[in-house]
Amino acid sequence: MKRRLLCVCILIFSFLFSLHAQETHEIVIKPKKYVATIAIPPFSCKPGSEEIKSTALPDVIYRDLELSGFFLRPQNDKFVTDTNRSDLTAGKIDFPEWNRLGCSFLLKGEYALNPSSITADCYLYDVKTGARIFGKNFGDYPKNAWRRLAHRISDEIVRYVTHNQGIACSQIIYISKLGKGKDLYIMDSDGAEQRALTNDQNLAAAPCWGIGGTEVYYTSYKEHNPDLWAMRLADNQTGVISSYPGFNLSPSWCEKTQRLVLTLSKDGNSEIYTMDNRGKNLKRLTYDRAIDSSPSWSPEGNQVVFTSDRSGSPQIYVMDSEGLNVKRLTFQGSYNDSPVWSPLGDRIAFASRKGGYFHIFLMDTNGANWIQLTEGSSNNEDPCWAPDGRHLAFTSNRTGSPQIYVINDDATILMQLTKNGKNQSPSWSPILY
Amino acid sequence: MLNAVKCRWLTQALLLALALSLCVGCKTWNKVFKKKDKAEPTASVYPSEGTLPPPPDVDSSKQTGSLSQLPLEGQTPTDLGTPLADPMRMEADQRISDLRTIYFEFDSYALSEDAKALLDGNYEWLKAHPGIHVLIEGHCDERGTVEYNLNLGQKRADAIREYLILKGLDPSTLHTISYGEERPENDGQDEAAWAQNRRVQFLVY
Repeated sequence: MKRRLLCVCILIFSFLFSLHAQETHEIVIKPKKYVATIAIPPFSCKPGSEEIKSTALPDVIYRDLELSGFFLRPQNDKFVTDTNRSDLTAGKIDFPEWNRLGCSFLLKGEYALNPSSITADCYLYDVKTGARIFGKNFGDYPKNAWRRLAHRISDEIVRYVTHNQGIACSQIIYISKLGKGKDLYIMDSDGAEQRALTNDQNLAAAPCWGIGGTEVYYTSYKEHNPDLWAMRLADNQTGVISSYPGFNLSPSWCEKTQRLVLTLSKDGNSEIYTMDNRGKNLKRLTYDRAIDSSPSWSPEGNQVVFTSDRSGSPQIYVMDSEGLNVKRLTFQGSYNDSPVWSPLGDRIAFASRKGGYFHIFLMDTNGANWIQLTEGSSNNEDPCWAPDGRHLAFTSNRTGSPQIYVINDDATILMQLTKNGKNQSPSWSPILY
Repeated sequence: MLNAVKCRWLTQALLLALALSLCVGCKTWNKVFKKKDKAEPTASVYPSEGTLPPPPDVDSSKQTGSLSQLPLEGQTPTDLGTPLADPMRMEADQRISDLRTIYFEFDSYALSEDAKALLDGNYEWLKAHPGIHVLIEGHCDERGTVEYNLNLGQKRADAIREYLILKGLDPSTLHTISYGEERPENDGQDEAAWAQNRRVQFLVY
């Protein structure tokens, strides 16, 4: 009996640690105190609708919800499908049976697909009480944007159950080298729909989002100087916004003050400046012979966190938006860089070299309470925050080549987003509905 | 028959009008993202026509008289380096064997005595060829973060440019660019390879 119990325990743990291999991306989930299991049986097809794979929408929603850190999918898809079938036959939901399967929540959905668009009716239930949490119609989405429909449903579930903002409806821009040169790319926050935004086959670097996710800014060498370019995402139109001699690098956008902060080397030394998103109203913040780089706004736009080697090694500093009240935040480690301020304002993520490798760390905005998120013998750099302030994307070369990963702020979730070529410098969009 | 011709004519006129309006749409966007004249630095920070542009080392922050123009104590903006020359905006692809590559220590942009000796040779060549524009390219090894290395590469190039200016070369002929760790000379991952990659090389336009 005892041995049997042990076997069951091992089985459960191996399931918990098992990789849910779906499409090309795998999520590694470590067990933690509270996550709820949600069952999402195959969606039924409305009468008269065209058909898609009944698990297409549920699979995307499952992955979004697992990545959210609040939910797990049931370990046996067949039980879910069978129970759903008997529900459909009986014409009512057998909540005790769903409860017996260990599910806390149940999402039932029905989609309608016509030649141009897709919609879905979804019902979310609390399995223990049998209460309906919501019943909603989602749509219309263009037929080829069916993933966006799934992401919208995911974020609504997260919002209703946890009162948190989900991040399924967001995108990540990054720099990719697939063939010749490095170009700007974009993908959904789950790693799907990867595509190129530029095809300069030159060198692009350090992108960021601006104006509510309608524009992006990035450095491109294509006109023989590292200039700052803008791209309007509605039509992929590009234009130069800052082309001073030397680099125009590392933009960070503040939505609140509508200002960019960036590094310019035009004066013969790298200094931090702010400007508007068309390169006007330039204002210089730093005056120091050392390297001042990688600035990032606080969400209110009243402070800037940045890297400087003025002490002799790269360390992280903070100053106000006038360049005054400069304070050093990091005193441990010989190389601390790439600071990014959380959109919630409470923490700063950065890369720190430890044991010969760079790792992603979090700290409070006064430099205290370091938390190390990544481990091992590989470099982990370029952290950027998701709009929920609980997830980060970063670059790691743990598989040999630099690729983009997502991790959450207690390191219980890790997902690799890119696989082909070399990928780096992620920047996460605001929520895009 | 006449109606059909008229109808076709009308359709064409409408299409033309639509095309024109689209062009106007493009124009407004282009106006917002004014494509700079290649010979000039960012046009947008300078006042528009009628007024003279400020001297190149004055940026708009200094005119507004805001707090940020005040350098931190003990420093004045002028001792922070020489403003960079306007980029040539064309490929510099000629390597001249007399212009030697200069190497650096890890995470350093200091010029060693050896580096200075080599640079003096480069200076002699450049002095003998006045009017030639050179591109001073800063590079780093792969260790360190991508953005920081772009800064470090620029620092290396700037240090060399500054040295040559102090020796008496014309600043407007000395252009710099940093590729950080993006263009290694040697793809290896050992100290020998890294030492080769921490360099500044000279190219002639």
